[in-house]
Amino acid sequence: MDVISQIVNGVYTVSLIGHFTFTDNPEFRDILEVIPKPEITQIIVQMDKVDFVDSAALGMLLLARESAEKHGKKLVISGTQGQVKRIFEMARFDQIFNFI
Amino acid sequence: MLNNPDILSHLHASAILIVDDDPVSRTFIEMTLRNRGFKNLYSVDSAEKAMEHLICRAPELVILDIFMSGLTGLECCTWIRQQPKFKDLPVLMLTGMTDEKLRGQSFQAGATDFVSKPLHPEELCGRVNVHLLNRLSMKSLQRYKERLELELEGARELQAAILPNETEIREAQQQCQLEFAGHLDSSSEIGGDFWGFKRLLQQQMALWTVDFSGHGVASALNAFRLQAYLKESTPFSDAPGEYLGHLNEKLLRLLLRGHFATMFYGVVDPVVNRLHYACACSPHPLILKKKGAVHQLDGTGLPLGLEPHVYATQQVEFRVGDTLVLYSDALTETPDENGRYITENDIAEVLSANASAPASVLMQRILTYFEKHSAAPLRDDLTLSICKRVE
Repeated sequence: MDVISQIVNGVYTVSLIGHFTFTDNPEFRDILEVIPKPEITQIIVQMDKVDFVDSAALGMLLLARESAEKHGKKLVISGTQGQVKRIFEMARFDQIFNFI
Repeated sequence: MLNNPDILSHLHASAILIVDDDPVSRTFIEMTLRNRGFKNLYSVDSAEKAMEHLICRAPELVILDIFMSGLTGLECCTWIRQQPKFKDLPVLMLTGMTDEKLRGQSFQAGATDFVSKPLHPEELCGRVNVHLLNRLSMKSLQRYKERLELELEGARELQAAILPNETEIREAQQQCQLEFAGHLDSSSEIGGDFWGFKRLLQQQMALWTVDFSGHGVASALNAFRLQAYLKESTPFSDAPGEYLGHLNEKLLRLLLRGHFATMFYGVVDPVVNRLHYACACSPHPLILKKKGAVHQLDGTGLPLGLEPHVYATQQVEFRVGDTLVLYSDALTETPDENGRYITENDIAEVLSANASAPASVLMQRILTYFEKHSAAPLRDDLTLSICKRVE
């Protein structure tokens, strides 16, 4: 997986690209370290270019959500499609994540 | 690493074989190494004697002169590499020339490195240290790997032991007229998937498949814990939804953050010809009817261990001749050579064509189809479990 991220006006936008799996743990740890920073108010995880997620990837997204909540920030997910969309629906993630 | 007294004393205790027919050079090497603390030195004056020595001893390093009367150092080195136990033994060639051709031949014969003549104490010790250290690291890595493999093998056996065994499967068939078949193929050495069943009151039978997030040891340990609990606890027999809610609360307390489990939990009630079930993100629950029709059940539901949640109990007709089929995503997410994926329709066709087959045959048909239509290594654990009502 590739990660492109930027911070503009307090909005931390993370674009994920490719297969998002167990092996991407180190990259995602970096993202988790940025979330608590005081200058950030909102996190947008763009997933429109992710074509595959495994259960470990879902686990990492859940950690991101938890960290955002703990620090009083809003995390939203955008653009799930294909296998990713199907898994999110199957897992009823609409009940625990905000989507745009 | 050479500052570490343990490693240094280990290096100095390493056996080193010195092979040189020139007594002056041999003594020089011995003296130099001994002065630097090396204690375990053996010297011989010919390749033949070196080979004799190597047959019954296994040094950690050989210093080998190229030009000797009798067999040359190159021939001796070639012989060393032919011995399986010496394929990784460091062999340092002593050469008085800066002849590139000779160096090339030495490497071809299997030499590890060179020490040039005339000898310089610093260079000699430097090279000996480097190669001994390499060997030490390789050996300790190898030992670590072997130990890990042994432990994983043990864990795999334990994991297999908590799955339904042949006796339990036979008993379920004889006493409850239910045929069970299961298959687990882990994408790593050990995985977090399992399936099982348990007889409840009267003729009711509870059954489940579970997949813990992630791969490897952490998810296997979680799987162990839940399987043990499922086997021991008394489930709310006729209310799978309530039972999933109960397990969810339990896992909310037990699991580390970011970990979760997906699960199908069902209860077969032969008296009313029904399967009551609840799902926590169970990918593809399918019912194969006696005549070959295939129905997909609703598998949606929040995975266990994330948030408090109310799970709905659903029910479906389940008569003699009907089959419940549960499989993990790996079945439809492992492409063949052309990048084509098995679709849910493909699975349904295989099932329909084998609607009258026993559970174990049905399982075999799906696995054969999978092997034929997938090429890539598994990205995720492949789990398959089947329960069929028979006469």
